[in-house]
Order: sequence, then C-alpha cells, then structure tokens
Amino acid sequence: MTTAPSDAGSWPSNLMVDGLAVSKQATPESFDEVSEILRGANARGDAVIPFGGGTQLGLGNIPSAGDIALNLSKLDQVVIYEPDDLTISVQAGCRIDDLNGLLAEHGQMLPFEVARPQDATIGGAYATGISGPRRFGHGSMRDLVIGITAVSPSGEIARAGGMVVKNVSGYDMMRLHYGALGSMGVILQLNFKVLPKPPAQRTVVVRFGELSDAIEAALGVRESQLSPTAIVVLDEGGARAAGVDVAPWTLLLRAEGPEDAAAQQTARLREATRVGALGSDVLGDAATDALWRGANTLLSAAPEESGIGIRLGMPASQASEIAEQLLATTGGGSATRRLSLDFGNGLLFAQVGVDTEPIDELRTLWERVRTLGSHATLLTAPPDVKRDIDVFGAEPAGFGLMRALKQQFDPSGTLNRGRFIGRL
Amino acid sequence: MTAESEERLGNFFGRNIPDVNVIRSCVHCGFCLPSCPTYRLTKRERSSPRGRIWLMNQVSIGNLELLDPIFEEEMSLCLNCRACEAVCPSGVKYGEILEASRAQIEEHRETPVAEKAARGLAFNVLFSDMKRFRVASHALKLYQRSGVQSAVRKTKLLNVIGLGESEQMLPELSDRFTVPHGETIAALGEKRGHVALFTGCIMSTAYAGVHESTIRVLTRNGFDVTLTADQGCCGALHVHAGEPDGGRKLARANIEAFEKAGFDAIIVNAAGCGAALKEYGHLLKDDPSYADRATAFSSTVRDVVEFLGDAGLSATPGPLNWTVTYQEPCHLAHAQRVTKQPRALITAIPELTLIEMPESSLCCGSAGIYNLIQPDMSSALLTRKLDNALSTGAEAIVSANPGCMLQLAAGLRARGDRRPVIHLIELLDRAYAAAESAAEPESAAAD
Amino acid sequence: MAQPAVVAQLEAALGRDSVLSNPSELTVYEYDGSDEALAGSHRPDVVVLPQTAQQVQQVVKIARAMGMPVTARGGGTGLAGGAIAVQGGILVALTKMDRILEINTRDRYALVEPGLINLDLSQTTSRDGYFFAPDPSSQRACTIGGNVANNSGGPHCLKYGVTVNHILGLEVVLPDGELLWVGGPSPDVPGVDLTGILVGSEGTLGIVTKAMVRLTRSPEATDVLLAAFPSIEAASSAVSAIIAAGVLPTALEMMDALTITAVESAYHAGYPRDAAAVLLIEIDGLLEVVAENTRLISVICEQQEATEVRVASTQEERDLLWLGRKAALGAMGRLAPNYYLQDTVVPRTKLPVTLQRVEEISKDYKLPVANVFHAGDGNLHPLILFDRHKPGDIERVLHAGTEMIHWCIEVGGAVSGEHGIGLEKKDFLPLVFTTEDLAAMAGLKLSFDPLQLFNPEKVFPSGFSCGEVSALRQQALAARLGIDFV
Repeated sequence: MTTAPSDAGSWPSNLMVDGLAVSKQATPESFDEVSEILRGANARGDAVIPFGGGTQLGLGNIPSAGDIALNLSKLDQVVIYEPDDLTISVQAGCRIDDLNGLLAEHGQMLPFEVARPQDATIGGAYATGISGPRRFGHGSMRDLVIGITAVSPSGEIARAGGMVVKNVSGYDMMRLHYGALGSMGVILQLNFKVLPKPPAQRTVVVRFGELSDAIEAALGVRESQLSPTAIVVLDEGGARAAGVDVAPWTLLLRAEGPEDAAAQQTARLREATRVGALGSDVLGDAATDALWRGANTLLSAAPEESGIGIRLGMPASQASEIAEQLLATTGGGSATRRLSLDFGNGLLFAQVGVDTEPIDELRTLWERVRTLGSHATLLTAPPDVKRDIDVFGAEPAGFGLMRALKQQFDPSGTLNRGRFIGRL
Repeated sequence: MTAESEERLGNFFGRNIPDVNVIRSCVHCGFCLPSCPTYRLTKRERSSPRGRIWLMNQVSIGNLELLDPIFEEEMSLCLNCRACEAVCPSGVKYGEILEASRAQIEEHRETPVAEKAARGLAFNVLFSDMKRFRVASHALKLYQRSGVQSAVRKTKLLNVIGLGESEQMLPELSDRFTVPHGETIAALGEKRGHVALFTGCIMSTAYAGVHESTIRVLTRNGFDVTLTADQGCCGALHVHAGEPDGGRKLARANIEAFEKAGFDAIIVNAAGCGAALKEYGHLLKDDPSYADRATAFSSTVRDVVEFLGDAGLSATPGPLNWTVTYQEPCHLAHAQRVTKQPRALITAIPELTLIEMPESSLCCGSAGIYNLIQPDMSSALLTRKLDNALSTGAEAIVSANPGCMLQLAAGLRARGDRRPVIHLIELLDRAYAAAESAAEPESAAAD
Repeated sequence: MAQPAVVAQLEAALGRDSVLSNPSELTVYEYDGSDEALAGSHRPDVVVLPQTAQQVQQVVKIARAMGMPVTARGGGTGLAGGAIAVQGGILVALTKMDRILEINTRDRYALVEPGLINLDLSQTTSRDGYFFAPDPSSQRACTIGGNVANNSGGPHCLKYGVTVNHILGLEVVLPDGELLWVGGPSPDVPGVDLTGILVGSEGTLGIVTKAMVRLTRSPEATDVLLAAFPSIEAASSAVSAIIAAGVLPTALEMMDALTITAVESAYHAGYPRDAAAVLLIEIDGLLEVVAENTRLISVICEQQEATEVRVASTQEERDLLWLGRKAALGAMGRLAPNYYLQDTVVPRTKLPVTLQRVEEISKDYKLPVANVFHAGDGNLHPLILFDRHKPGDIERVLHAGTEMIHWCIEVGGAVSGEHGIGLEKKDFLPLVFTTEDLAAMAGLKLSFDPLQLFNPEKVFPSGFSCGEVSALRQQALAARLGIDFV
C-alpha cells in the first residue's frame, strides 16, 4: 500500500540546512510511507532530516550528514476533533493557524505561539519546543499535550497517552519528544486538550523610559493577584516588531476573559503599572492579535545570515541583572537589537544583528551571553558562527542519559544526525 | 460461651482480646500518619497508627508473638492521644484496640517487681480512693515546701501519680483541694439548667482553682452546679495503661454516684477524664448489670467547654487585652472532637487576640503517665509543642486539660519562661471578673 | 531476610538507626495504601530511612553491587501498589527527608525534599499567598516525592493541571548511582525533557531526592457552588454544558445519591438528600471573573434542571461544602467494611453512558457502587462496596472492576487517570497499548535502568520483559485476559 517513490534519486530537493544541501526530499502522505522511508534510510545508513513548515530550521547544531529531507507537511489532517470533549488529535504537519481556525469555529483554541503560525506546523513546534509568553496564562504545548504517535528510525509506530485529559497509563512518552528536535523519533500525530477561547481580550501597553521601572512594574503585576496571561517587556526593536509606539521600554500585559472582566482587569493593570510609566494604551481584540503576532517574531528560529537569536533562562529575580549585562554586551555600534523579556515564564529572547564582520562579533557575543541566565540556547545563527560550538550551550547535567536515550531510540543516528544537544 | 482461658485470636488470648472487626476495619490508607505525634517524630511506619494496627493484625493472625519486643514497645510508645481517630476515613476505633492490646500485654508479660509495686501503688492505692489521693497530695505539698524536695525529687511516688519527675511541675499545685460533699451552688440570674461537676483526682488537688472558676462561670451563665458526693477518679489512666479492671471498678462507683439525680449534664473540665467518662458505655459493655446504665451515664457527660460553647454564653465577658494561643488537648480535640467551641469561647472575650499555633492538635507529650514511661519521646514532643506555641508570640497558653497544663508549665519553667498556662475556663472567669470590676483591661504580663 | 553483609554495609553508610532488618519491623512495610487482596503485598528484605541524597546514592550503589532491587516509598498512600517491594530487596523509605529547603516567591518555586507532606507545603507557603496546586485527596498524608512518582492529580487539577505541570526541576539518584539535577527555575532547559520523563514514572527510572516545585499565586476570590439534580443524566449534561460554554472551573466534582446519603448520615454537610446527584463546582480568580462565571454556571445548572443552586462565598461555607466531598471515602467505610476505589477516565462526553454502564455492572455483580469523582476531567472513581471476609466478594469486585475498565477503554478512555499503574493495573495496559507502544516504553526504561533494579515488576504487564519484547508473550497475555486487540 505504500506509494513512496521507489527511485530515491528522482526526489527533488531544495532544502539547505546550515549550508548543507540535502540531496533528496521525501513528502510522505501516510504514516506507512514515513515508516517505509525511515526503514530504508536506516538500513542504508542514510541521515534523515525531518521538517514541517521549515520555519525553524535555524535551530540545531550543524548536521553531520543529511541525505534525505523528510517533509511532513502533507500529513496535515485533523484526525479526531471532539469539541464537547475539548480534545483534538492532529497530524504533525497541520499548520498552527489552520488548526486554530478550525478550533475558533467552535469557540476554542490552542494558545501556542511561534514566529510564523501561518507556516509552522504542530509537529515542528513541538519538536523545537519554543514557546511564547502566553504560556504564562494557558500553558505550553508541553502542558497541553495528552497523546503522541511517533515512528522510530526502524519504522515502528508507537503511541502513548490517549484522548483523555488526565491519564497516567504507562510512561509519558510525550516528554521524550518535546524539544528533542525529532532526534528520538519522528512525530506523526499529537493529541491535545484544547481550551475555551476567552470571549474577550485586551492588551495593556505601558511605555517606560527606564528599564528598572519596566521591570519593577512587570514583577509587581506578576506578584499580584491580577491574572494577565502574558507579561512581556520589549526594548525599542521589540516594540517595532510588535507594531506599537516606540519607547525605550514597553511592558505588554494580555488580559483575557469575559467581556466585563477583561475590561475591568485592564483598568486594574493600568493602575498597577503607573509608577515610572511614560504612558499607556489599551488595545482591543483584533489589535491584540496583531500585536502579539508581531511580538512573537522574536521567538524565531529561522535560518539567519547576519544575526543571531538567543533564548536565555531568566528567573524573575535575576531579570534585572541579566538584562543589564545583556545590554552592556550588545550595546552600541551598528548592532540592531530586539529584546523580549518574558516575565511570566522566566525566559528572555534576544535577536542581534550586525553589519560588518559578523562572524567573530556574533560568536563573541554568544560566548558572553550564554552564561548569563540559568540556561542558554542559540536559536539561530549563520552556519559559520555555529561551527565548533554547541548551540544548546554547555553539555548539560544528565547528558549521559540523553546519549543512552539516543542510543536506544536511534542507534544508527538516522534522525537529525549531529543536530541535537552534544551533537547526538 | 467458652471459658475465658480458651478464648483466642491468633496470639491474643484470655481476657480483653481486641475486637477483630475493629482491627480489620483499617484499610491502611495512611491518612492517619501525619496526625500521629510519634510518627511525626520518628518517621518510622511501626510508630504510626497504621503500623501499630498492622502489628496487632499480625498478632491476631498468629504471625507475631504477643510479647514480641517490637510489638510491646510500640504499644507502649503510643500516646493514645487518638489524633488518628479524628482523621480516620474508615472510623477505626483505634483507642479501643490499643487499650485491649495493652491489657493483653499487661496480663501476659512478666512485670519487673519494682514496676509492679509502683503500678500497684498508683493504680490500686492512690487513684482508687480520693481520700488517699488527697493525703498523698498534701504530703507532696508539704514536701515541696519543706526544702527537702531536691534530695528526694527522683522519688517514684512523684512520677507515679503523674506529676512528673521534675520539681518544676510542682509550684503549679493549688493551695486548696476540692472536696465534693453533695452541695449545690445556685445559678446567678435566670436559671437555664442544673448540672453536676465531675471533680476528678488531679483536677481537684493540683487544679482546684480551675474547679472554682468552673463553678463561677457556670453559675454566672445560669446553671445550678452540684458537687456530687462519693464520686472518684474517672479511671482513664488505668484503662490507658492496660489495667481495665481497675478502671471498671471506678466507673461503676461513679455511675452510682451520679445516676440518681438526673442532671441536665455531668460537666467535666479535664479533657482526659471527659473522654473516659464518655466511654463508660464501651468499658462496661460486657457487664450486664451496668452496660445500659453506663451508656446512659456517658450520654450526659459534657466537657465544660463543649457545654458552654453549645449552650452559648448568657453573660457577656469583660475585656481582656491579652494575646493568647490555644493548645488542643488530644482528648478534647480527637477523642471528643471538640474543636470549634473552645475557639468560639476564647474569641467571645472582647479585646483578646487568639493566634493559632502551628500543629495545635499535635500531642504535647503528657498523655497521662506517658511522660514517665517514655520520657525521651515525651520531652521531644514537649519541645516541639513549646516551639510552636511560643512562635505565636502569645502572652499566655490556653488549654483545657490538667495533664497538658502540667506538661506545658514544666516545659516553660525549664526554659526560664514565666508565661502562664491557663485553663480556658479560668480565662473566661478572669474575663467575667474584669467585667465586674469594670476596671482597665488586665494584662497577662502584669501577672 | 537480607544478608548480614548487606545490612552491615547499609549500616556503615546510614547509621544503625536508619537501617531496619528485624522481621517485626519489616512487616509494616509490606503494604501501601492499596488493598493487599487486589494489588498484593510483599515484605522487603531490608528498609532504609536515608536523610540525605548522598545516603540514597550510597544505598543504590550497594544495591547495584549486590544485584538487589530497590523500591522507593513516600507516605505509602498509593492506591496501585506502586510502593510494594514485590521482589523484596531494599525499600527506601524517604519519610525522614521532609524539609522545605527554600521558598522563593519571586521566582515562584519551593525546593523541597521528597518526604515532605503535600499539604504541609501549601500550609507553609499560604502565609505568603502561594500554594502547590496538585491536591490529591490524600494530600494530608501523601508526599511530594510520591506525587512526582505518580504524576498525581486532585480536584483542582481541572484548572491548574496535574503534577507534571508543577515540577520545575528534580534532583534524582539514577539506577547507576549517579546523583543528578534536571530542570531548573526557568522552563525549556536544552536537551531531553528529563524532568517530564521522570514525573509519573512510578520510581522505575530514578529516586527523587529533591524537587523544585512551582508555587501558584493564591486567587483573589473563590466561590463554591452546590447544584442538585433530579437525575445523574441531568448532572452529566450540566457538566458537558459548563465545559462547552467555555468556562473552566477550578474544580468540578460529582457525587451520586448513594454518596449523598452516606455523607449526610455521617457528617451533615448539608447536601439535599432527595437529589440524585450533586455537582460541587469551584471557581477562582479575579473578583470580577469569579462573579461572572458563578452567574454563568448557575444559569447553566438551572437550564439543566437543577433543583437547587447554592453559592458559598465565605471560607466557612466553602469548607462545609467541601467537607462532604473530602470525607466521602470515610462515609463509605460506614456503608461496607471495604471498598475498592476504581480509577478510570473517559472522554467527558462519555460520562453519562459510562455512569449508566457502571450502574449495570453494579446490578450484575450485586455490589453497591457509589460514585464520587472529578467530573470535569472525565475521571471516574466508582467505589465498589464489599466485605473482604465474605467468600466470593473479592472475585466479584475484581470482575466488576475489570468490566468497568473494559468499558472505559471501549469508549476511548484510559486505564488510570491519576492513581497510577503500579501492580494493580499493569495487566490492563495491553488493552490500550500495542507491543510497539510498550516496546518504546521499555526502551525508555532500559535507557535509565538496564539492570532493571528500580521498582521491578511495576507499570509493565506481567510477563512483559523489557529485554525481550515478543508478540507471542503479548498474545498469551491477551488470551489470559480474554481480550482482542488491534
């Protein structure tokens, strides 16, 4: 029943990964075809690079080999959607905007944020494990996933979890694949619990002249009993990306809920962030969507030629210190900089570009920045910057275990060879 | 009916065999563990209610010897505070099977001669007769004032009557004893009922002042109070220590003393005694001529705090500008499940601040004669209790049981802390006194 | 009995007081919170009570050198036999490691030892206005380490999520004796999500020695609604309607008539005795959100034929309504000597048919069944009432429980919602998972524990050896359980 092209040589390829041209591309249309392709590649010793929308291919170490690009974008079906159960099962290639379009018809949503939701796929977003600020209020993919189907390099399809919102039957294999870049298996299908779409949403935009005032305001809100679903501080570059009036520092607070409640919370949030503020605005429903789509471009892990993207673990108590050091490191000269401090979740996203001598400057920058927070990931960088470094930072505690897992789940190194942490 | 000596449940045999259905009613869910003082300190399963019931179960199915040293040790280490009963989802009557297990061990073990003598002195001589008890207590008081106390402070007598080996406990003794002669003190104002006061042993000697307060507060709230003659010790210490026969004898005497008059309630101000009196029905269930009378007796017993809390105060207390904390006596909170009324009464006093201590319902380590049998565990619990109590910054610790009060007071003295430990009813009494004098609010610190 | 040499080594490492080897002491570690007739019991060869992570590490190293199995135990409240040392060996009781090491409200975490009791943590942090969200019914007695092992739930998990959503990082001792920190205060630590893998692995992959747990800010307002219904169907429809209306309560619990009767007789919580079912619904958050959602839910309940809707806004009123729910198990103990608490989960729309099926099974087996459960999650807890000492009762309970699980799986549910697999449920896993599915899970186990010394015979079906995964075994198992699978 498989319809995979038998002549591998005829597969087209236009995929470049970190400067490496992948000679063949396969676009399977069924799980069995994926199995078939992997089984063949695994037997031949070919290296496979799975991808979905191809929007985050900048993330990962430079692959040590790439023979087949496995394009999963045609596996884009919604398999089961039970609006009354608030659960959905979708194939990995389903695009995030398409999925939310369907859910919205039933007044529901999945609050996943990526840089390009119109192109990015669910499977890709899950495998890269990059998550936006709205996770503070609603949880990330990791929090909302309830089941998974993945295929091993030798072609065995295995499921875990299920279609119920609470489940402790068997190991939680969903975790093995979250943020593992497809290196432990190719994700075919994911099940999520979906959330009711709040009837109303607003964004409070507060402008500050001083970073310290913006941080104080953000922490004040975080420690209050107010419940914004996202708390972010942007620098000028970040504000431009979000499409709001540019100020040295901009605090964004997202309020969601019943109409009246959202309005009242908005008023309370403005009141709570008045100290040191230059001014504030409130954006309505549609403007809120547009603003966050813009702000979320800072989450990008798309390939870069002249800049880098960095994600740092930023515990709230260290935010001030980390931000100051980051500014000192990236300040001045020709650098363009876009910063997003996600106070709700304790993450910092930075995009830094340079005009001249990019390589050395960017590499130095990464070296200085990567030890600032509790952890660091180089989300994207030109291949020359990436060479000889591990984009996932230092070898983590538990690396021996990760190596054992890779050995167990992909002993031949078929999947994303050399791309994952420690070049697994 | 088979002869007593032939009765057997695994390795339990003879009289006072624990009820197998009670043992089996434990489903070992483990909810009781954190409530248990000895478990909280040791974190060993065997020192938990669930572990002890499992051990009883093992004895009952013949897997464990009755006199297995670990079984014996655990039955003794238990405080019988019954905190576990209050949290048990299955309603296991733990105290009942513990007391039966202790009785079994007492009956079958070889008791060292010295201990036997001491126990005999305590249970058969002192507590069984109130006159003797008062004489002994008088002797104590003289001894205490004679200046020779330090020379003999280790005397077993001191220990055995539950006053502890520490001389620091003794200054708490009252100057007066309460001797009931059947007199009735009339209610003040509109009469709401007629109650009897159970005077008990330790309360009527060490804490006679509490009785006086109790009478004043009850009469002020519209109750006639009778001090019934011929009443004695409640027998709780006997039952807890595995001497149920001595307890039964006292129970029968008390029933006879009280049952004829038909009081609205028999009022107790010692939580340990109250719990025991409320369980006479169970204690005498196999005594055909007393079983029903015991149940009727038990049904009229009320702790004074419970009684006043439920009846409501008809007289308004005066203000006391104090900050206090409340230590829950195990036998009030767990055995009698009286937890709301004490707080309601304390907070009924104007200007007074109640600050709850952490682990208020964790045993203070007194537990009848436990502080003599298990001094290490008792002292560890006392330290924890006082740390918790003092962390509130309270000026006084309020309780409602003489054992707890003696233990806490001794602990405070050992720390050189002069904060008072007072009975809840004394606190109310002072508030009424304050109302009367209509003077400036009293301060505990000025005491 | 453990070999004297092992005991001596353990005593040298931990001190004499922390090593128990007397049979009379070991007997109290034969069980956990599960029913021994249904999940089993077994005596460990030796019990250790370590006080530091390094001591746990030493114990594991000694066990490994001697080839002895190691089973970790917290409060011993688990309902699936997860803490039973089924092959003997060393039982590691973590009860003495019960300290709160750090509370950091700015970064919203607490660093705690595994033996800390769940409720003790929330009581401590409540002074600062924070709490630890997972609240299993055993929260007065269960430990954080046990919550991590079982990925525990509880009534409030409807809004706040289960334990895995609240664990930021873990210190664990791995089966090879390595002491390791995974995760941390910020999410998305690069590499494999080892924290997520360890949560819910029932002590088969590692022993937690410290946990960094998320603290949740206490809500500004809380309402509890009690809604009474004339039929189970009406109550189930109300659950569906509330979920479908886009309101997410904090907790949404259901109790049926038998439960109401039992609770009212024992505790007088004030539930209407004539109701066929009541819903207990908690809503928390901002004042204005709570007010709006309370109004909305009241209207929905009335539309679904509720005969009474009562709102409790003060702490005292709320406590009284919750008392009945929390004490429901105890009330059952008064209806029958024993009860078997089944834990299954179905898609929420399948609740009405599932409750009907449960009632049929109850009639078929002549065993009373009370229902008190997390309706909002579709997480059922049928309580099968029986008498362990009545001949034939246990068999009928087992069969009735099995039929319930079969039904739940048939309608798209799972084997366990929150109590875990342990010993009790392991033979049901092939009902939902194929050989390939189980083989992948076995791969996870082997990556962590190639010698299979940690909590052996748990989670995986009997006869399923992680080392050799064969379809033949699978078929034999299927035949034994009398099931077909794809």
